[in-house]
This record gives sequence, structure tokens and C-alpha cells, in this order.
Amino acid sequence: MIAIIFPLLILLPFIIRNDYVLHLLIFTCMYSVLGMGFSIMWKNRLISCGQAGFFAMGAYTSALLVMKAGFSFWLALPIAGLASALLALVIFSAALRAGPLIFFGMSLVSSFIVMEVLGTVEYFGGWEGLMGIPRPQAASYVFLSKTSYYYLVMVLLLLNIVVFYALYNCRIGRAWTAIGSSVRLAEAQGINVYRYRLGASVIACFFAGVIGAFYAHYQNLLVPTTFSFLLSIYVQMFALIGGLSFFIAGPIVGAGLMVFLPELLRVTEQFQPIFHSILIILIVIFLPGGLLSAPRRFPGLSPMLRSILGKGATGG
Amino acid sequence: MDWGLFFQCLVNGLAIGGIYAVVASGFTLVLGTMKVFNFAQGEFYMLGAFVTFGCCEVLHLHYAIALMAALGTMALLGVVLQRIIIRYTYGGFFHTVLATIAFGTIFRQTAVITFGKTDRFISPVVKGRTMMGDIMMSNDKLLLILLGVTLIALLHYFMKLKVGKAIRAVTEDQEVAGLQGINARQIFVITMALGCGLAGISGALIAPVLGATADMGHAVFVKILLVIIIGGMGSMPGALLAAFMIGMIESFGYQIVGGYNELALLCFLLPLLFLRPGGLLGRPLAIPE
Repeated sequence: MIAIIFPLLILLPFIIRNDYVLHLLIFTCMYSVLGMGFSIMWKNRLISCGQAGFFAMGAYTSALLVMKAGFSFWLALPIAGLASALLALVIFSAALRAGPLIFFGMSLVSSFIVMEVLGTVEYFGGWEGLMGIPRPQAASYVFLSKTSYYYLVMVLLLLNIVVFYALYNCRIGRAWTAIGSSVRLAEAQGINVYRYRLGASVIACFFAGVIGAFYAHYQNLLVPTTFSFLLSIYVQMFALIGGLSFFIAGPIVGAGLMVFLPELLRVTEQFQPIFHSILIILIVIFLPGGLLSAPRRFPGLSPMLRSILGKGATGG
Repeated sequence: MDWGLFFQCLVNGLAIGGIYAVVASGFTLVLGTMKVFNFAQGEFYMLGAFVTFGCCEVLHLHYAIALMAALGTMALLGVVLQRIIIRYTYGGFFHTVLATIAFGTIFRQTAVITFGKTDRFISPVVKGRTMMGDIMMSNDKLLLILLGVTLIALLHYFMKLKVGKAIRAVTEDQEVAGLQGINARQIFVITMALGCGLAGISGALIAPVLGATADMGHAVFVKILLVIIIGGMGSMPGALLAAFMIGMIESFGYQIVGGYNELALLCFLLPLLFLRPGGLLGRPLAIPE
């Protein structure tokens, strides 16, 4: 499975040779990272509704560091992640004490706060946006083509997948699984639920910040309204459509579907939200486990799907 | 700040706070009873305003009929949402959240497509202005405050009736309420109709003052969230307190800090959350697994 996919991902820009499709692929990768951040929290049965805020935090931190303080992009990228993680630590250390429902509300409000601050304070560019963010540079090579950005985002995505995969398969991941199946049982096992949940949200927000920094230097323009809570909700939709119990594959499949399906069906931009909404309602009612759970739900389909997807598709 | 300006701000704050109180009461009722986070509440408010616009400006009906129409259609739409979608997503809090978001988005986007981003204004219901000393207020705003307060009083009276008691019983414990012979499914339908109807009627109340826009649902929903978080999840008195508090902060904040109004509100919210993470009058509400 990996042996097929990996070379395919590397060769993809040479096969497609279409800038618009590459642009959509880059967005799919970014959304996948955000979606995986959501699902790492979902593993702890926390519903985050504020990934857009941390995404914005990373984007603006990196953009301002490069533009105003003269940092290089490669240094600003991890700093942006750390800034997001710090914000998450401050907000969620208070919110998690009050339980998952307050966490849900607080994450939503915090993303709103971030957007409001970025919009009203003139230093951050105001509501019109922050313009002229420089492109990343490696030695004398400037990232200009979509292909170069595609490789960059692919490296970030793979890094994210590797880190999450490692986390899920060690002691920490097992503790998260325990919390996910029953908080009380996990507590009885001596797991510090508060600390593990906080850790998961900080890690998720770190990666949201890193990918935000990438977004800033890819778009060269940041507008606060793109980081409204609608983006956070889209992130949730990616995770749900792919499958909530598939923590790595789910968001990737969901993001790919949500980005490419409207384009393939030639749904105009105005009708896209309606299209997405209908898709979500259908999934919620008929396939609550997400698309990747279809083989399990409809066993008749599964031999066919399994032969297409291989063994790797069932894990996660 | 002189006294005239002070009273002006006070009246504005009461008007905004009253609207927030009505919408948020409906929201918190549904949240407390059904444990459903109804993200479509803001869109019901927006649709209520557009129904009023349709009744008053297109069909030229009386405002009182428009109010009833907004209440009725939104209550009906709430029942549709409950019977068609939420009923089938029980057991998954998160699934219901996304389903209500999707349901709301359909209407929001439809409104954006049909009405565009421009405001629709409704001719004043009670023409003229009232002078009180040296402060001047439009009669519509006074009508809004009056109706808002009446609605809140009616809602509290309703919660004391037999149906209201049943709703409160289901909020406390669904199973024990079932043992008392209360049909929880019926109560859910009533709650949903009431919650969404309140959103619709408050949209109808605000329409003569601020007009109707496709984006207004989104704006008010953020405020509802603040109200719910400050007041405490699922707590009706908390929602009322927080709604008027936010209304006052907004109205006075606008006079004092101007464009940084929203920011001031959030600066107030943040320390409050650190001091009382459960909200002012709330108690911890568990997400059903």
C-alpha cells in the first residue's frame, strides 16, 4: 500500500501538470493537517470548534515575524507552531477544568477572539488583510511554482502523519484511547485525564499553527474573515465525512472529498455550502461512522473495497 | 458622560439585551432539555426577520400578524429539524451539532443567494419618537423593549405551567420523568418548537429597528454563544443575566471605546472564564456519550 502511494505522491505534479488541480491538492493537504488535529482531540472525546483560530495564530505569527522582524521562513515556521501551542495551553488549561462542553464553547469563542483581534488592531493589517507576505526561500531558491509548494506541504503532512502515528502507537496514545472509551475507567486506571487531554489539544494546535504559517506564505495574503468559525466547522466536517474512528486516514479522505467533489460536479461557488450541508446531513443520518466505515457497515461491499484499498485502509 | 447619553445607552443596552435574552433562552432551553447544541438558532432568527419583512412589506399585513407568522413558521421549521434530522442522530452529540450546522447553512446560503448582502428595511411600526427630558428614542425601540420583556415574562409563566414543569422534569432526568408518565419524545418536539419559535419572534422584533440581512444570524449566534458561556450552559436565569450584561457592555462600550467594542467585550469575558469556568449561574452539563 505504502509502496504504491509514496512514489505516486512524489510523481503527482509531473502526472497532473495542472496548476489548479495542484492548488486544490495543496489545500487538501492543509485541511488534512487541520482535520487530524481535530481528530487527535476527538480521540479524547473533546470537540474542538476553534481550529481556525489556531490556524490564524500560526499564519499571522509567521507572517509578522518574517515581515516585521526579518526572520527567515524556516525559523518562523516552528515559532508559529509554538505560538499556537502556547495560546492553546493558556486557553484550554482553564477550559478543560470545566469539562468537555465548556471546552467546546471556549474553543469556539477563542477562535472568534483571535479573528476579532486580528481584524480590529491596525498593526495586524485590519479587516482588509495583511498583504505582501514574502515567499519562502531556501538558499537562492525561491518557492514560486505550485509544484514546489506541493512538495513543501507534503513534507509537513508526512511529518504530521508520522508524529501522530508514533503518538497513537505508544503509551500516550493508549492512554488517549482509554480516555476515549470511558473517562471514568481511565481515571480508575490512574490516568491523569486532564493532563492527557491538555497534551492532545496542545499538540493539535501546534500542527495547526505550523500549517497556518505555510498557508500565510503560500497565499501571500491574510484576511481575518477567512479564519471565521465556519472554517473550524469545515475542519470538523472533514473528520466526520472520512470517519471519526479513523484518526489519520479519515480527515485526509474527508478533506479530499470536500475539496474535489464540488469541483468535479461543477457546483458553482455560491451553491457549494448548500452542497456540503446536504452531504453532511446524509452522512450523519445514513453513515454516522463516515465513509471509511462503509465496508464494515455494508459487508457486501467490503471484498471489493478491500481489494481496491488494501489492508492499510482498515487501520487508523 | 452626561445623564442624557447615559440613559440613551441604557435604553439601547436594554433593547439589545432583550433580543439576546429571548434568542438565548430558546437556545438554552433546547440545550438543557435535549442536550442538543442548536447551531441553526441564529439562522432561525434571520429567517424570522425575513418572514416579517415578507409579511409587512410584500403582503402589507399588520405587524402583529407578522410576529405570529414568524413565531409559527419558525416553530414549524424547528419541529421539521427535530423530526427529520435530530431524531436520527441521537446518541451522537457531535453528529447533531454538525447536522444543525448543515441545516442552518442551507437556509443561510439560500438567503444570501436570494437577498444578496444588502439590508432590507421595514417601515416603522409605531411612527415617531418619544422625548424623555433631553433623550430621544424611536418608538420602535421602546416597542421592542416592551415586547421583549413581555416575552421573557410569558416564557417564565409558561415554565410554571404543567407543560413547563414537564419540560423541566425532562431536563433534570429523562428516565425518571418517563416513570412519571411524561413522554420525552413529545416534550422534545414542544421544546424544539418553543426554542426555534423564540428565535423567529425575536428576529421579527428586531426587524423594524435594524432591518433584515442574510448575515444577521451568524452575528447573533456568536453573541448567543457568549451568553451561554457566561451565563452557564443550560441555565435559564444565567442566560437572562448574561444577555442583559452583554447588551449593556455592548451599548456602553460603543460609546466609550468605539470600534474596539467587540474586543472590549471579549476582554471582559476572558478573565471571567478563568474565575468561573462553568459560567455565572451554571452547573457542569455533561456531553452525552
